Amino acid sequence: MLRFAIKKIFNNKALMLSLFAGILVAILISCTIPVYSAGISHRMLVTQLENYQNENKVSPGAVIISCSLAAFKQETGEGGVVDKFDSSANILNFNYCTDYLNASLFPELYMPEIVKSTSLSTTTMFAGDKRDTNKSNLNEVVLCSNDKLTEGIEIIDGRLPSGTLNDKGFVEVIISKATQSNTKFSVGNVLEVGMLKEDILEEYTDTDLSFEIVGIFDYVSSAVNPIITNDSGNEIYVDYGLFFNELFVKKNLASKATWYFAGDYTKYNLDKIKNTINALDNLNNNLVVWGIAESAATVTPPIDQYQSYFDNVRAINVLLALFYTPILILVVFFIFMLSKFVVENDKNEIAMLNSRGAARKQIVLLYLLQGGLAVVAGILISPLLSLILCRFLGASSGFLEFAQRAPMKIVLSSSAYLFCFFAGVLTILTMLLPVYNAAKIEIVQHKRNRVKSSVLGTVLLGVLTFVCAGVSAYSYYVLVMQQGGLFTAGGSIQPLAYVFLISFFAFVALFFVLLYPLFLKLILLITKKKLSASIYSAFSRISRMEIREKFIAIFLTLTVAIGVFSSISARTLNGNIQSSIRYQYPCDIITDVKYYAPVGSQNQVLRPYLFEDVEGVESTKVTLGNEPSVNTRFGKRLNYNLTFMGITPDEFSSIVEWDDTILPQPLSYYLDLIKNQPEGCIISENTAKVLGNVEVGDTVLIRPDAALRGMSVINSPVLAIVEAWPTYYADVEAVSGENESNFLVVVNNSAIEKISDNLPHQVWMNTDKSIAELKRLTIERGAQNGTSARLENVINGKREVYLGEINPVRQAVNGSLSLGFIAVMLICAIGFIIYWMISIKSRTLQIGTMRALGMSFKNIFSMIMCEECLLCVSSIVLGVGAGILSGVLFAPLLQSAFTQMGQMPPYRIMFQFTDLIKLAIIIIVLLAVSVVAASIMLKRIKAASAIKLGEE
Amino acid sequence: MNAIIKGVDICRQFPSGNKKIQVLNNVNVDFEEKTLTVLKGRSGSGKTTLMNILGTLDRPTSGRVFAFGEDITDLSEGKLDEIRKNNVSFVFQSVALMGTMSAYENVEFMLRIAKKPMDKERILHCLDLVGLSNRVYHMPYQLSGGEQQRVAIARAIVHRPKVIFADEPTAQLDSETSKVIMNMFHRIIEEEGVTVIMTTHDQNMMELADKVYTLDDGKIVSYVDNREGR
Ligand SMILES: Nc1ncnc2c1ncn2[C@@H]1O[C@H](COP(=O)(O)OP(=O)(O)OP(=O)(O)O)[C@@H](O)[C@H]1O
Ligand SMILES: [Mg+2]
Repeated sequence: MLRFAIKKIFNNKALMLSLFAGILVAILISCTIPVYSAGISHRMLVTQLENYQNENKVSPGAVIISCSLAAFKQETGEGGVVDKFDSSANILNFNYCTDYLNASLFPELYMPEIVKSTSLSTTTMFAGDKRDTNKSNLNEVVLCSNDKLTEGIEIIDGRLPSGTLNDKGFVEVIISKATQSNTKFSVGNVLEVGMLKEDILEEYTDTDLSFEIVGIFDYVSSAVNPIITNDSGNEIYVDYGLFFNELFVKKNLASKATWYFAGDYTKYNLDKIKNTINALDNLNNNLVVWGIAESAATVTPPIDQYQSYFDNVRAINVLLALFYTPILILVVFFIFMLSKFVVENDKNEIAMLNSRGAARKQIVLLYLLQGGLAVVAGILISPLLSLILCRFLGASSGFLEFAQRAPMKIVLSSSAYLFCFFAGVLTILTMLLPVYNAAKIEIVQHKRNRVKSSVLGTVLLGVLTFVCAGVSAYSYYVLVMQQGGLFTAGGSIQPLAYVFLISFFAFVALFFVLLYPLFLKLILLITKKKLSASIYSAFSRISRMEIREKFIAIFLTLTVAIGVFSSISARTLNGNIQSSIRYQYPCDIITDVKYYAPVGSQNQVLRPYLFEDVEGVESTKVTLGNEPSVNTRFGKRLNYNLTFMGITPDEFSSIVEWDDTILPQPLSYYLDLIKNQPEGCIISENTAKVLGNVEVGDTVLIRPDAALRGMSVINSPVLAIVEAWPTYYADVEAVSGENESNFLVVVNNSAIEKISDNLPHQVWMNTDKSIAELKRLTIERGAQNGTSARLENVINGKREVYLGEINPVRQAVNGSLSLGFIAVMLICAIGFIIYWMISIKSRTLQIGTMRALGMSFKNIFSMIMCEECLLCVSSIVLGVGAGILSGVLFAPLLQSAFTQMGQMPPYRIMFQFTDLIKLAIIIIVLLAVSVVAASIMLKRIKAASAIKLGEE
Repeated sequence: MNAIIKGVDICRQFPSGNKKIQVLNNVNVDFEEKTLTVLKGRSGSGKTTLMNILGTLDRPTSGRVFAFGEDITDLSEGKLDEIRKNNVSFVFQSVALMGTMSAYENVEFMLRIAKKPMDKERILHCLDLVGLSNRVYHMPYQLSGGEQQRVAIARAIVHRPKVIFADEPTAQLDSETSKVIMNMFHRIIEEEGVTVIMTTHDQNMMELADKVYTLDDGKIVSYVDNREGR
């Protein structure tokens, strides 16, 4: 049986190769999804927590408790209060604390341990060589020990110290390179260590201890323990056990203990977050009870950030699932279609096997073997391929854009194998369905059944189409009208979103399959008389779509639609995030300048503009006003939540970066208005509304400073009413009550200066200078101008833009949509080519007959091309249309995916023409390949032998 | 004698593995205008192969084929397409109708290929000739095998070719219908002035033919002219 299966595969090389490619792609995609999602969430964690790591220099999974043992209020253990000065108290406290941490804190972090270490050290002491009897060369040192020291260092000279006193009774020690160069001690030195009292080294114990340096060490580059690598250049390391016994237990010399634990935060178990929070609270309580709360330096994992990280991961996974769902459905459909093709191709063979008495079970088994071989191969190869693919996708910097980027951490998780396995099983099941059906029908029966089934099929198809249309319309209605967004209150995606997407695509495809033949028949009816044989037969064939044609039409429509849908979704998300960032941060830096009156002076605060002619800084003043208000001549007044913005149009336009598609006119148009009519103003739509539907041309009275006398008002004609302005957008949240909205009025600085040139202002600038430099500059310049000025509320636009670019949501969406697009195009290509191969192959007799009837090769070729146009090109065109439509319908729902991004400019649906071009190129290549393949296959068909084939 | 088609010393070999099988061996045949000639022989004797060569669908390994007063052995594919389109037509052992076209459309399709006017009268007449005037708009899958074969015959005559090659056109038909078909061939020979060349196993058909060639193992073993006896 197996032999027969393999033989069959070899007999049908091209078809089997494509089938195999199809199965491989299907499994590959299934396998890539979990790998990629994991990679993305990991990178997200890194992005989110790397700031923490940079600021704190410790891993977000680290606990550090470092305290002076003398600070403990009392003995903490259960043995009752011991005299604080009793030498055993420190040891009891230390042991108690160690036990507590090991038993009650570290396990409650629910992270696998990476490092755990305990350090003990003395206070600062002095050390000198024993031979240096007048102690002329003493060095400050700390005797320390760490139970994991050897894991982080390598000896570069000498050896590791012994765990016991050596034969001379010395304590063996090692020092770091830094300590060596600080103290000039080296291997072989025997040190005397003690406190310094009136410049005399006083022995610190009754019994001398001498310390012999036996080694110099350096840190290994992979050291993960910051407690060790934190080198002050004065540490002298003693073996931990020796330190504990000799220096701590016997001599009570340990003064400071540090406990360190680092867990793998990427493996944090979020379900246990309550326990972790409790444990950390408990720790803080204990620190207070023990009396070391103030003196101890403690670092604990930023659990709140964990929470938000895991929330984000969930949100992203949900989003990814949304994008992958149609693709996975497509993949299943694809495999079903492929096996249907294969079975149809083998129809005669199946019938023959049937007639020879092969049981249905045996036929199914034969195909099971065939498919099984392909699936097993697929399962073996695809995890590896998916790693490569993910690496590639991990470099995605935009939709279908790949830039070199820090590589994503990609590992094959068990879920990848699981997905892989399930995809394989599903593939086999999907494959067997058509085989199972085919195996029971004999050829004659098959032919007879066709009439009945075609009528029944059409009716069924019609009903299905209507159901799909209804479902998609209803779910869209519910999504948009009633729930107003894509997300449920819990933050996951509305299941209806899937329903909508799937039913919409299904509707489009079914509608096409249902209506298109009718349409072709109509054309055929009209043009019948004029059509040439090749075009006529193409029309006649496609207008009486058989199951195979229906499949490929649905398939092509779906793939292309999903491709275009991916493209629109990705572009819309990207574009809106991008412009929302650009729009909130229109220049490198926006900062308030606060001026203070000189101490003791009663003078008015002066606010000179300090950024005139600063080298390397391009800046403009944006006047803020002081409790500004606007009113109309008819008494309508607005004096709350009002953003007053005095600008200098020319400077403003050169500094602000603005997406000119946000407003109906480019920004320069509005700036020109206000430049040419300096007393005029631009107001926001909601301002106009609150002021009683003010229109362009009406005059409003603007008072930039409530503290000024009554005449200080700008009589200002309204030049334009806008929806958005750099940094301003009417608060989306506050739709409930107008009173909560924020309002905007923009005027020319020159008009304000006529009233007062001393209003509070912001500075908007583009510069490469650091914020610290700018702050210093402000203080200096302020002093030169006789004021004391400070920069406050500095907004770093550059950084925000950068953060936006590495925004993990964006990366996830881009990567997954790129993956979707690539996958879809890949299976589209394979499906397409297989269809044509089978289509031509199965029509050998027909084509041979046509040749015998006198159609030339050229005629036949043009017939095939015409069929291709009628079937595939139209499916593709429809797919593009459906994709655009679904993207346009769906894109507004995506808006809710990033309302947390803060202020939004008007949300726009975006589409990039280049994506269509990419799509077109792929399709043209496909068509070209199919033309070449078709002509090769057609050339091979010899009428005489083709007809002979039909005789059987 | 007025031979419209003539094969001289026709040999045809087929490669089979690394051997060659000699399917036709120095076959000499000629076909008179407006006659019904039958090629008879056991299965595998080379009837179809010979027909294909005479009908321009295949080329002989050696020997020459003359048709319509011309040596067509070495003509280009394009020229042969022209001949097939206008002068010869086929009825195959395998029925080979266009599955997505009705009986009427199948017949009409031949006119389309030959770029002849699509005269409805003519099409219906041809379908009537084969006795299918009540099956005109049926699709092939709604027709019986014999009915399909008759549509193929109607298709073969509709554009008034000079020669019709029919490879076992009666194989799927009962003897009554077969006789009807043979008579129909005679009718169209008379009415349309065509020449019919057909193969058959059926002994009963021989008497209805004008001439009979018998093939055995790639050689012509006998030749009978029935008209001589009439
Ligand atoms: N393309 C080919 N390649 C190899 N051998 C062939 C080819 N075509 C025909 N033959 C062989 O040539 C011989 C004659 O075949 P042909 O089809 O002409 O027989 P036939 O007389 O028409 O038989 P039937 O009455 O069964 O139709 C057969 O033995 C066949 O195996
Ligand atoms: Mg034959």
